[in-house]
Amino acid sequence: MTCALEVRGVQLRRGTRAILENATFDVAPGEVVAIMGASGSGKTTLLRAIAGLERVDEGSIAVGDVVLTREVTPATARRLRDWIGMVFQFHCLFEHLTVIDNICLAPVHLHRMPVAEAATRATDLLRRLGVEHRSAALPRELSGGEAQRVAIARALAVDPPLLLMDEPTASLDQDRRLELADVVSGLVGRDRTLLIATHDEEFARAVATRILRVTDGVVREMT
Amino acid sequence: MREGWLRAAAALVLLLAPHAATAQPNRELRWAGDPEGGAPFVEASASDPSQLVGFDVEIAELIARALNRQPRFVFIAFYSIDQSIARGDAEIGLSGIEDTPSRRSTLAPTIPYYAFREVLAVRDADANRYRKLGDLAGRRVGTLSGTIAYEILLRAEREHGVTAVSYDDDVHPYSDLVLGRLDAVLLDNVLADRRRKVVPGFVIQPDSVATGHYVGVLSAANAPLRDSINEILKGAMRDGSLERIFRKWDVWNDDQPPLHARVFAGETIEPYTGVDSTSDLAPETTWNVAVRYLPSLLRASIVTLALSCLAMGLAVVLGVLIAIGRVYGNAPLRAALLGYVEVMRGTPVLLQLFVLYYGLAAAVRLPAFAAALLGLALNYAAYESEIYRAALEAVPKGQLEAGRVLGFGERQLLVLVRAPQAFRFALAPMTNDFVALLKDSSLVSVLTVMELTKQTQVFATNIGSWVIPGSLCAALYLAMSLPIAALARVLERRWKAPTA
Repeated sequence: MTCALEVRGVQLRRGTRAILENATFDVAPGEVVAIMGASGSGKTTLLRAIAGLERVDEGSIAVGDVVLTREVTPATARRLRDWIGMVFQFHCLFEHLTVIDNICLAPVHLHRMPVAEAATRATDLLRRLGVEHRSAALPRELSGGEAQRVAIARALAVDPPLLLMDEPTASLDQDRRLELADVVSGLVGRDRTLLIATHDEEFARAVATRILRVTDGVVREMT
Repeated sequence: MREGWLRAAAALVLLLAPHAATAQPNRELRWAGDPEGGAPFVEASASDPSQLVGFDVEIAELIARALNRQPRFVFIAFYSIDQSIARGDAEIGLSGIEDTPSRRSTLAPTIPYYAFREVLAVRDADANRYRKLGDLAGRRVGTLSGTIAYEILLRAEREHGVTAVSYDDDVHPYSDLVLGRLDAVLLDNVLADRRRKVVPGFVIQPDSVATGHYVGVLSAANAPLRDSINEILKGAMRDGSLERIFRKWDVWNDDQPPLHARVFAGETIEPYTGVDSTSDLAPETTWNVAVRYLPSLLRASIVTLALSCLAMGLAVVLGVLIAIGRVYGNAPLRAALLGYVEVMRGTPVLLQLFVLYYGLAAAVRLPAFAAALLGLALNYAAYESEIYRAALEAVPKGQLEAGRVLGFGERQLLVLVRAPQAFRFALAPMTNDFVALLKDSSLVSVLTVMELTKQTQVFATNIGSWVIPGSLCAALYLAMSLPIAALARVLERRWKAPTA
């Protein structure tokens, strides 16, 4: 399943403050697009709006065959989940579950995958991401880099066509950033579209096929 | 000029001297009683509730007058009068206090001033069926705790298989008898006659189970004052003033002249008659009584533990439902649940227990244990719900958003992500509440449930000391609460421990 993203005239306000102003852009299936901007520029809010965690005031966001507008029905929100995975800036791993259980939770409870199969797939993902040895650890026992990879593994476990990543390098040192760039490059394929919000230009240039810049809520193509 | 001031000061001292003498504290006679359900002994006047009336009030006034003192009433709960007198809260206790061997050994009781009979009250329909205690095998018989009647019932439990039910007051046994919660009540004829005038539906059996006497109690150190009061009481018997008081309160009867005659003759008057002298009521050493009461204390501990565990279990279930309703419910539901929480937290649990057991008795006649269980559970559910609500809201928003993006609905999120994390936050305050509930369960003795504190109180009243009963009681509570706290610590450690 390939996923195109179309963002059309999106306005998003918090009180009187405009967070996003007429945001309009497209992302083709298989593209890796970086959204850059300073802290507070609106790039995280844009990602959250695409993930359905923020409601837009105007405009529309089309993710595959799901269209988000000002009013989002529960049915629309449920359908959106088939298209999207997200890696949060602060990872947001489930604190009460081990690494392997974090990854297996959605496949087992949402997709009715047998536990053994889910565990095998989770272990495979962890091996590909280089953190297989941490499968029994709790999130609070992981380093920032390990937590980042586990969060990616959790998002990939349900095989989302569109993967959103929010500031993936924020908690990483230089070596880890380069390692993560390799990991992200390994995720790219015709069946997966990546949208990465980052203020790290070096990382963005290393992984992205295209870069958008958000300045005061306005999205522009970067050359 | 200076001499003038001195003369004026001396004159002032002389003027004030007599008043200073009358204002000395020892010109008061502090007397203790319990006006709760205390008619006709001590009760608040119907016309002016700030005034006390009753034959014991008038006897206190009679004694104070003869001692040239001002009577001053000190309110002491009936079951604590002995201990309060011993520690000096008042000089004399007068509130229908029975003459018993333990009071004779630990306090300085006055001469008996009234003879009473322990009488059995049964519902009208049972008048021919239950004539004596032996007819009441397997039946519930109520009385006031810490009395001779209660001791008689404990013995009847062993001999006849009756079930003794203890009350903190002498009003509710009769209302419960009429409601069917009891099959009989054993109490003084004074109380029974008084109740029968206002509560229809029961009769008093003509044969008395035992006879006893009311006395005033003073501390052992106050024996000289007791001797003076004895002379005053004898004088009041002789000149008829005591009889006038009893006649006024409609409690004078044919049992009183023989008692007066025996007092005048200087006879040794036994505390009670009609009870086997080798029975539990005979004087015993503290150690013997402790050994005798230990099984009762252990049984009461089981009641306390069972009640606390069941009430906590129910409170947790209700608390979780209330908390979920408050976090996820719509506005009317949230408002209704908030109202419930505020009402339950804002009113005393004792009041709630009374309402549940006595207040609703006309509509729902709950058994005592069920009412106690429900009362504690409903009250603690309000507190638990606040803990769980706060714990649910303490789960970071990011955890929920991560779950939503993965595709979980709110119900799945609650079960798989939010509740397990919230439970860890709630564990410590929950443990705290469980230990608090274990102790609050002592309140249910007002519903006649014989739990640990109540049994200890009966024990202490019987031996006239709180030292051994209090120590045993504290040890039993600790034996129950310490393992709970230890278990909670183990669980907290386990969930915090690294697993890798």
